[in-house]
Parts: sequence; structure tokens; C-alpha cells
Amino acid sequence: MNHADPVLGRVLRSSTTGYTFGFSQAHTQPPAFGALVKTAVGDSHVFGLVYDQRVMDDALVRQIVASSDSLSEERIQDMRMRRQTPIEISVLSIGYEQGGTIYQLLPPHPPDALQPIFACTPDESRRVLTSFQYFRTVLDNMECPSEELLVASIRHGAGCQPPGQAQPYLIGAGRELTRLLAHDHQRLDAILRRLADFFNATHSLPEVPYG
Amino acid sequence: MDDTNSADAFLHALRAQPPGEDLSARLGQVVAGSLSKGLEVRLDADRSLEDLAVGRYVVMRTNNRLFFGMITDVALDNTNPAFEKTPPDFSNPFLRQIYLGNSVFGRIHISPMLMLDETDIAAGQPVPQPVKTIPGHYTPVATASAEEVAYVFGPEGEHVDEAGAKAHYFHIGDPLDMENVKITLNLERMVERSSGVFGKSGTGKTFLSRLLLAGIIQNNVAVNLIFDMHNEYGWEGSTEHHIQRKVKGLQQLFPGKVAIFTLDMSSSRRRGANPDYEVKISYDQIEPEDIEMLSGVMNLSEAQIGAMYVLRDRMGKAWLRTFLDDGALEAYEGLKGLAKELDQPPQTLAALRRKLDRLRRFDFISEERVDDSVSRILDYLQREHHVVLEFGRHGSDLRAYLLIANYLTRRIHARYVKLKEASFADPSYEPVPLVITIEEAHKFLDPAVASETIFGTIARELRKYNVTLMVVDQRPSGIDSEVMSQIGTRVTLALDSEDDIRAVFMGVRGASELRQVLAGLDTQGQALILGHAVPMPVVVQTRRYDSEFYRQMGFIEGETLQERAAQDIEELGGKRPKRLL
Repeated sequence: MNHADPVLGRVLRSSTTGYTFGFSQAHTQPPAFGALVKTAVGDSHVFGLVYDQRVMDDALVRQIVASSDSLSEERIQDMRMRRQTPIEISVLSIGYEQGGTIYQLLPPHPPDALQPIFACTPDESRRVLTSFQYFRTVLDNMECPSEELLVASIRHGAGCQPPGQAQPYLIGAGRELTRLLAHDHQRLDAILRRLADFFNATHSLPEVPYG
Repeated sequence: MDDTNSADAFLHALRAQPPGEDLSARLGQVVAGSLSKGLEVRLDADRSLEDLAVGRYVVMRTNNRLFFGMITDVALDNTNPAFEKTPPDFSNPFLRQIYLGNSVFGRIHISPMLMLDETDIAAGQPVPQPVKTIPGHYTPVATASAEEVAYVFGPEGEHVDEAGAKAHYFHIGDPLDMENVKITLNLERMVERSSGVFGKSGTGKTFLSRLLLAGIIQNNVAVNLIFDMHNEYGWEGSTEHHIQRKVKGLQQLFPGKVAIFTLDMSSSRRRGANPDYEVKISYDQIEPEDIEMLSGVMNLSEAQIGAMYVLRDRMGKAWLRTFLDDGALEAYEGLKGLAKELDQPPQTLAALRRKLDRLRRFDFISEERVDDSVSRILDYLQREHHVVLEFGRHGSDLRAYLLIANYLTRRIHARYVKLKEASFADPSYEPVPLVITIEEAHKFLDPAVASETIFGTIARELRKYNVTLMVVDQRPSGIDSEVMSQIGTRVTLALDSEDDIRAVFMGVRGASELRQVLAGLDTQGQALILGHAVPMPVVVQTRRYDSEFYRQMGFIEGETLQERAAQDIEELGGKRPKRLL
């Protein structure tokens, strides 16, 4: 991990399946839903998908909201930068890297409190999301909006592919989903329809003969 | 890069393939099945069901064996029955690419037929063996290559095995959807037992029979006696296409090896043939057994048949001539007196006489003593000349056809039996294997008569006396089941009737699966061959009976013949002739 990378935040609480970190950057946007982030656990790096952002209130915010009828834009920005509680971002662990090999498995240990969290580069995202074993981890998780998260993550993975490879990547991911959700036609269709919109937007696809 | 190709390349990279597997030929993988019921194969996502037809050969390669099978059914399948109730949106190209071949996919049913040992293949001596087991789960299935088909059927031509036995493999056609592959059948094995060519009217039975007969003649595997009902084998025949064209008969292809005998000299000559012999029989040569087989077409009752035997016992050889001659009956004081003397009901004799009187219309039956046609035919056969008996205008009369075929076959078979028995003491008497070709075979082999007629006997005897049948028929269901089960090689063109299809597959393993194959045959030019002469059932696009075939049979076209003759004459220092025929 390159220590020159900007730290997005630090771990507040964690478990084997995921963790929540406090986003503390005042001048940048928090990572998007479905983005891949990483943190160090011992000699390995744990990768996870952002699946929730929670903006908590604090006493100051409550006071201002209660007392002021009108707020200037300058004051709102000031309040956002000086807030007393961080934005809580929840992450689902989908894999880890150890000895240069990426495993799409739950990490052996969860990250410790206050471990720094980093955003993954496009190259890292491509390496981590190349295979689709993590789909099952996402689909089986009851705490996250698994269908939405999977669509966001696949879109993220497709966006990291080299030129011309986004559509094959999407087709590969879709076919993997047909295997995993063979028993749940409606759920499969719901995910694929969301992906279809993104697929069509990438660029027009040559006609494939029916049959 | 094309997006579809990129997707496939991407997916192939994801899919772990066994090293060395040829993906271009791969169709799918075995997912279920049994030896008795066949194998279920799920098609790969990039394979279209429409490109696969029943009857096509596939191979399944395991570590030790190469399994050979035939596609006997194709089906649509899915991973979830909900896809049938709520089909996905196939107008969306993305969804179509995802679902097709994955959630909804093609499935083929394969009948395993043969297996070959990989070590034998590696040693260059593949020995096809019947399947006794099946390939395991997820064994890759691929279309058979030309080389693999050749392992099974053997290359065209003459082969001598280690024991010194000769076998002639005759190119009968090509497998479906495969180019440059020849399907051959073992002619020795074909003539070893009776064979059958079946198909509904207009499917090309005669063409295929002529093809097989040409193979037998060219390779000197047996001699043929062909009862040519419609005058199509000996001299020119015509195609059944909407544009009729003439095709060459066997005598034209093999001059000097094929003799044409005729029952109707004027008809044969009108058609341009030059028959070698006109067959005539006399009334005194006809026996009740010759007529008994016509009981169906002549509407003879049991009592009338019995009366014929009584007549023969009383009057001897001349029974028929005497019975039909008014003058001769005078000696018995008319029909009533004869009935009284024979202790037969007068009505029976009167009806019998009325029916037998119809034989007078056949001008090949003579009042006078005639040459012995049977000896003449046997003489040709023993000199290894093939005999085509043309019926001329009598071909349209089933009674004439049945009478003559039965008459000649009974006597020829009897002589063969004697010769064969003599050959046990002196091998020089060993008769040349004989194949008798009959059309409208169900008339000879009807369950009511098959047990008693000579044709039923020949079919049941197998090759005991070196005589076998080639039955050509459009109604195999009319053939006695016991006889049908003895038909070693069955060449089947398209059939419609369920009864006929059932009859063709009588006693065949995996018949229910092969039915689908038969049902899928084109109405012309495609045949399913199964039985003794082929190592496994095979669907062929039959070889064309055209000038190329003539050339391969050794026929030289007119112009070429003229050029060759002129060249020979020049080489011999002779004069160029004014005109050559």
C-alpha cells in the first residue's frame, strides 16, 4: 500500500464480514456506493465494497436547525466541514490479497479499529474484480442491499476494464449471475435489467443472431 | 475487436478447458444418462441447436477411450421452469446474450454406439467395439472428425485381415453435414445375411438398391438374381425428379458381367435393351406350390389350394394343362365327373378353374415344352454372371411377378441346396453366393404365407445354402416379423407409417431413439443404415447415381470410349474407323 495515497478515514468497528469507517476528509467526496476500498490487516490487504453511508447528526447541527429559519450557504459549508461526528461508511469485505495473490474470500481477520482506509486505484479494482466469485458473498449478505450493490460493483468493475472490454466483462458477469441465481428467476431478471441499461449506454452492440 | 468475439474470448479465458481440447468441434458436455437410455448433453452457450441435426455423429473422449455416438434427439431446456412462464425480454441484446445458452439452452440426446481404445488408436489399429459403459460426468462432446468416422467405418476398397479374409468396403454415401468423409459398408457382411431396402414410394429405393447391387457386382462379392418388376435395373431407368432423365442400368455399367433375361422380349427391345434370353415356362412345369403363394392375389381358398394338390397327385406333371383344357376334361366326363372322381366339391373345382384360367393371359406360359429357364439362369450364375429378369409389361401384374419369382427361386434354391450338400464332399461344388433381389417383398413375406414360401425359408436360413435375399419394399410392416428379424442389414429411407417404422426397428437395440432419426430423414437421398454390414447405425446422404458414379464403376463414356478405341487402333497400326458405336 502506498502511504502517499489519501486516507479516506479510519475503522470505527469491524467484523469478519465487513467494517464501518469514519470518513473524515473535509475537502473530498466520500467513496461512491459500490466503490472498492482497501485496508491493511497484518501482512494482507482486505478489499471491500462500500454499501452504506450514514450522515449522523450532532448537537451543533441540531441546534442550528432548531434556531435558524434561514441559513447562508457559507454557514452550511462551514458546518459540514467542522462537524463533530464523521460520516459513517459501511463496507462489505469481499476478498484479500496475500503474498501477491488475490483471494475472493472473507479475510481471516477483520481490520483493527482506527486502521486507515484507502480508495483502490482502477488497476487494483480491475485485478480484484476480474473474477466473479465474490458475487455469492454479496448475494448472501442480508445486511446490504445486495442486488443494488452487485449492480454498482459490476458497473464499477466494467468501468475499470481496458477499452473495448467493458461489454465482454458485463456479459461474463451476467452469465455468472445466471448460474448463481438459476433458482431465482425474478431476482436474476431484476439485476440483469439494471445492468442492461448500463450495457446499452456503453455503446451500441452488434446484432447477435437469435438461436 | 468484435464485441461478441471479445465476450467469447473473455469467457473462454474464464472457463477452464482441458488442455488440448479442440474448442471449434466442441458441442457441450455429458450431464446425465445411462447405457440403456442414452446420454444427455448440455450444449455450450455458443452452440446453436439449429446447427445440429439428428443422425449426426459425435465423439466423447475420455482418458482411455473414444466413445462414438449419434444424436437421436434435440431439445430446448432451461435452468428454471419459470422461464417458460415468464420469458425474459429477448428484444434486449444484452439480456439475450446473457440468457441464451445459460439460463435457456439446447440439450441433445446421444445414443452411444461404439467405443475405441485410445491405445489402439495410437497404434493405428482402432477396433470398434460395442459400448458396454458410458463416459463420465461432464465429458466433453464434440462433432466427430473425418478421421474418427474413418476409424469406425473403414476406408473404401478391399481389405485383407490378419487371417487372410477379404472384405470389400463400398462407399454408400456421406454422413450428414460432413464433407470429404465416406461412409462404407462391408459388402461381404451384407450378403452374408438377407438385407432390406425400405422406404415409402418415391424416396429412391430403386436407386439405392441399384447402388448396392453395383457395389456387389463391381467387387465380385456375390452373384445377383434380380426380379426386375419395373424394368429399372438391367437397362436404362429414369429418375423420379420432376425433370426426368435417363440413368444407366447395371448391364450398361458392367457389360459382360450382367445378363438381361426377359419375360417380354418386345418390351425389352422397345426400351433399347438387348436381352440375352427370353424366359418361358410351360404349363407342365408349374407345380401347385408355385401357385399356392398366389393365394392372396388370386383369392384362392384353402379348399381350392387342396384341390390343386389332389389334381397334381391324380394327373401328374400335366395337371394344370389338363385341368384348363376343355378337350382333356372330356376324358373325365367334364368338370362334374372330375369332381366326382377326385372326391372334390364341383363348385370348388369350378371356381379354381375360373381363377387358374387367368394364367392363360400370360404369354410367357407356353402350352408346349420349352427350354429349362432355371438351368439357363443357374448356368449364368455359376459363371458369375449376374442376371436381371425384366418383366416388361407383366411387371404391372402382381400375379405374374409372384408366380415367376416364386417359380424360379424355388428351383434355384433347390439346386443350391444340392450343390451345397455336394460341396461338403467335394469343395469344387461350392456354389457362388447368390443374392436374390425382390420388390414388393411383403407380398412374398406376408405373415400368412412367409412360413411356407421359399422366400421365408431363405430369409430364415441365413447363408446356410449361400442364398440370401435383398428385399425392396415400401411396406415393411407387411413382412412377417420372424423374417424381418432375420434381415441382417436394413437400409431405410423415409417412412411415414408408424407400423412400418416399428417393423424396421424390430429387434434393434435403441430403436426408440433411432425412430427420431428416421423421422427426420429427407424424403429423398437420405437413408438410415443399420445392421450387419455397418458397425453402428448411420444416416447417410446417399451417393449420387450419376456419371461420376458410372466412371468409378469402370464405365467409359461414349466419347472417351471412341477416343480410346481410336488410340488403340492407331497404336496397333490400324485404320481409323469411319464410325464407332
